[in-house]
Amino acid sequence: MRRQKEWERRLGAAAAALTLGFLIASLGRSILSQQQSDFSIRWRSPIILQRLVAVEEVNHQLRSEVDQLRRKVEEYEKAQAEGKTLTRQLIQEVTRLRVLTGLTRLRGPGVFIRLEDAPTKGPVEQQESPLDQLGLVHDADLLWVVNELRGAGAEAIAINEQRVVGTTAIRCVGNLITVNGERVSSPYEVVAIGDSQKLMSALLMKGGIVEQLQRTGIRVLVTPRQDIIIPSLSVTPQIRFARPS
Amino acid sequence: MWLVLASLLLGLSLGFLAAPAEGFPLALQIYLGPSLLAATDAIVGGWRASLEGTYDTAVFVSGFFVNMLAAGLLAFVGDLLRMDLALAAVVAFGTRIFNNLAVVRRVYLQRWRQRVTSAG
Repeated sequence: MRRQKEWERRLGAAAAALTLGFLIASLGRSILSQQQSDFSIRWRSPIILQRLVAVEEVNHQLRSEVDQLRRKVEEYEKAQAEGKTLTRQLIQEVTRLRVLTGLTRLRGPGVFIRLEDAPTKGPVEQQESPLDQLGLVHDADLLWVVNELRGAGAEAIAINEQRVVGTTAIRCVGNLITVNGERVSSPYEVVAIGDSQKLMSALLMKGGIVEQLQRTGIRVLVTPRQDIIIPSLSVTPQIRFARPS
Repeated sequence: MWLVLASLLLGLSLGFLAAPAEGFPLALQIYLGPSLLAATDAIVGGWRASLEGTYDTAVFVSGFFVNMLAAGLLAFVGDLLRMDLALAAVVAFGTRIFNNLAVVRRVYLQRWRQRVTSAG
């Protein structure tokens, strides 16, 4: 009985010691590892801080790069917008040049002039006297009219649907008049777009062209018109020799 | 005596092996503390009992394990209730440890004095 109790006592103490040891060890281990991790954090923090500083620097650089790139994009956009306005300007210029060179049909206010040969006394061939040729519209007359119109600020002129531009020749071929190489005949209808008031006064001024033409017997009719349509040039002038310099 | 020491070493090594490298989670440590205190209390109590001659193995072993589990459970319940119930275990076991330790100290002191007087 006594021996058994002694054995029992030892076993109990051993069990208690085992458990106590286990508890102490696990707790100690936990505390130790915690301290270790604390230590490692303390040890690593300067390195991590350094890295943070480096990364922040890189971040700063990248941000400034972003700013630069944004500015560049802005510049490009501005350039593009400028390009657009340039294109618009070019189109406007081209349109203006087309108007001046007669490559487009035009419409606007102006004057209408009708020149008609005086009633002939006979066939032209039978008229021997130069005086008999009075009352006929000559190429020079048309040139004169065109010149007067231009002087009065006409922007576009046409004779019998033939546009008159800088390269247009108004010539007499035999007893026919050609404009742009196309034959025109009486009655000659000259239309011009411009300030109709100005054009009218230029044509009808005292001792002016209309008066002088009428004096030769040509029938002249001049009227202002609100809406005149002038066709484009029937032929496109070739440029073979002239070069911009 | 050797058996006890061997058991203690075995327990220590087992605990070291069982514990994860990064340590137990903090929540488990909260339960471990009171349990350890209860175990210590039981051992001091057993010590006193053996000195007083009232030692009972069944009482010691049952007290050791039941108190340990109870302390852990108290800490767990306290955690659930968001109250530091482990403090109750700490106070109770702490007081008892000091009481028992005082008794043990007096017993040894008595014995020493007796030895000194008998020798003198």
